[in-house]
Formats: sequence, structure tokens, C-alpha cells
Amino acid sequence: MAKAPVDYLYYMRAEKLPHMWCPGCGVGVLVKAIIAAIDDMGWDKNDIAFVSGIGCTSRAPGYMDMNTLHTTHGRALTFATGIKMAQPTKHVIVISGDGDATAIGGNHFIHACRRNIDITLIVNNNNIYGMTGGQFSPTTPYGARAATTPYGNIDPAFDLVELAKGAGATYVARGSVDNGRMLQKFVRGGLNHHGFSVIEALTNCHTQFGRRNKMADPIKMIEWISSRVVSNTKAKKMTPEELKGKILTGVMHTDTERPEYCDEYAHLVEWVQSKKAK
Amino acid sequence: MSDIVRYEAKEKDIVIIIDRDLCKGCDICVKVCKPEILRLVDAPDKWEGAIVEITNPDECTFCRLCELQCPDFAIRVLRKEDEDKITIGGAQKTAAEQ
Repeated sequence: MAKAPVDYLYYMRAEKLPHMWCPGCGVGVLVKAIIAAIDDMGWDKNDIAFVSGIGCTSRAPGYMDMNTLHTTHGRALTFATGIKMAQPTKHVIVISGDGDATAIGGNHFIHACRRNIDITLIVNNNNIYGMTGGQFSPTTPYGARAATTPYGNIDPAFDLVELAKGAGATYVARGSVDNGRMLQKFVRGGLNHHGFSVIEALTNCHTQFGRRNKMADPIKMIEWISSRVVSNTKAKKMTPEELKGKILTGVMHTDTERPEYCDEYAHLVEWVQSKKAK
Repeated sequence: MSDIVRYEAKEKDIVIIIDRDLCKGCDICVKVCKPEILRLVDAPDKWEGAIVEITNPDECTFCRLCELQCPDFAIRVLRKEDEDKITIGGAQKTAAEQ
């Protein structure tokens, strides 16, 4: 028998809808993918903590009917670490924008990766600070225009996947908004993984990013994202010239060997208590 | 009450539900639909001014791309027996209730 359709509004505060995101905003698709992944896991929504910082993406917990926490700018992961340490059996999901996770919360991001605590971080990478008026972020591509780079951005962009891998995250995946089913699969992989998982979602901000880069409507911007991404299985058959300027998507890194932080902490507590008893 | 429109296919086991309170007329579903059975129509009573509608539900192939790619939770494409298994209609509270 086929699986029953996902009841999105069961996981949401339906009376708060319609949401505040612009028409066609990719965050809606990402939230949908997260809900579908949670539904696939079969978790009770009361066992989930959904944490965010500040930004357009970080408004998502406001619409979710779970244990939600809307925290300070960039510090979502620190609050989430606290929740996970206090309640290691519960599930903690963090949703964050690219500026929130990698600029203001950059330090928290790399240290949460290094610590390998069992939290799922979903980064909505829309290449810009959407809520505050379109300032360039660490993931704005080279040459792109933003409110604070009117003649083009001269900073190279962060590669979130490489950053997370280098810092020690044990599940790293990247999806794009043109394929919601793929995003759902990667989020499910992250939720299944025991350890710190990072899922980067390439989404469209046609209002702030697209408007300044000749892609002022959602369709154009989603097509631009589709033209830039290549799945990592397809990339194996492509030459380096063809791959120039492309962004790889897929599950980029998994590591099940490294110990998880809450487990290590529990072992430590057990060991110290056994020492004291003697 | 929510402003919900139901489109039932006559020959197929498909029902398409559009929540007119949630749709913002972003045009994504119209572009992803392969049989091209969706279109935007003017809706002067809504804030966004445009709402999606289904022209011929019998041509639906049940790929559910419109449902998957809709950022506003406005479209559901369902089998007829699944219709009562899910919650339909956001913005259920009227202004007086809130």
C-alpha cells in the first residue's frame, strides 16, 4: 500500500498561514521538505526541538507546531547544543540562513561541526541577507551585485560543504530548491545520522538577490540555480572543463566512525562516578 | 472559513485542492506542470492579485510536482480516499476569532 500523503498542516501552526515569505520564496519549499522528512522518520512532533537564529529563514519555527525556539542572530547552534545536552534523547533541528550560519554564527558553526553533537543543521543558502535589505553575505558569488556591492562582489564565496567537512561534520549534503524531493531525501539522511549533520539548500531570493542580478522573478532565479548545479554522480562522467563554475549536489561526506558528543559525555560521567564510588 | 476550491477529476482517482487564502500567485506551479493544466487568473479580492486555478483536472498525471514545489502550502494533489486523512485549510481563524 502506498504511503499516506504528508499532512503538512498537522506539523504547522495553520492559523499563522499564509507565511511572511515573498511569493515564490525557496524557504517554503525547504520547510516543506523538512516536514516531509520528519513525517518519513515517524517522529512525534513533541519530541522535536526546532531552533533558529535571525533572518528570513529563521522565521520558519514560528510556523511549526513543535517545540520551537527563535534565538539571537547566529547563535541558534549554541542554544541547540544546550537543548541537546539537557535532553539527549530528543531530536534537535536547527534551521539557519547563510548569513546567520556562516557570518555572524561562523564560529558556532565550525565548533559545532568539530564537536560532532547529534544536531541536524539545515542551511538555507540564498546568497544574500534577505531580511535586512540585500547586503552581500559570505556566500554571495564573485561578481554578483548586492545592496552593499553595487559594482559587483570582489570577495570569493564560501563553499559550505568544504567548510563543514574540514571542520569535522560527519554528514554533509547539498541540495537545491528546484528539486524538493532531493532536499527531502538529504534532510532525512541528516535526521537519520547520529552526529552533526549539515544540509545546505541552494534557494532563490529573487527579491533581494535576483532583483539586482537580472533575475527578478522566482522562475528565472530557480532556472539559474538549476543551470549551476550538477549531481555528484553525474559529475563523475564529466570533464573538468564541463564542471567549471558548477556546484555539486548530493551527499558529499559521511563518517560514522567519529564518536558523538553526548555519548562521549555520558561515558565520561559514568567513568567519573565509578571512580568516585571506589 | 478558509477559501478552498476543490477540483475533482471525473475519470481519474485524483482530487486537486487549492487554498485560495494561501496562494500568492508566484507562477511556479504553472511552470512545472507538464500537461499545462494550471493557469493564473486575476483575483482582485486577494492581496496578491493573482491566484492559480486548474483548467482540466482530468489531464492531471499525478506527478505532484506542483504540490512539491509550491512554497506556500496552497496546492494538494490527492487520491480521493486520502482526502479526509489530511488537514486542509490554513488561516482557519477569522479576524474576529483572533
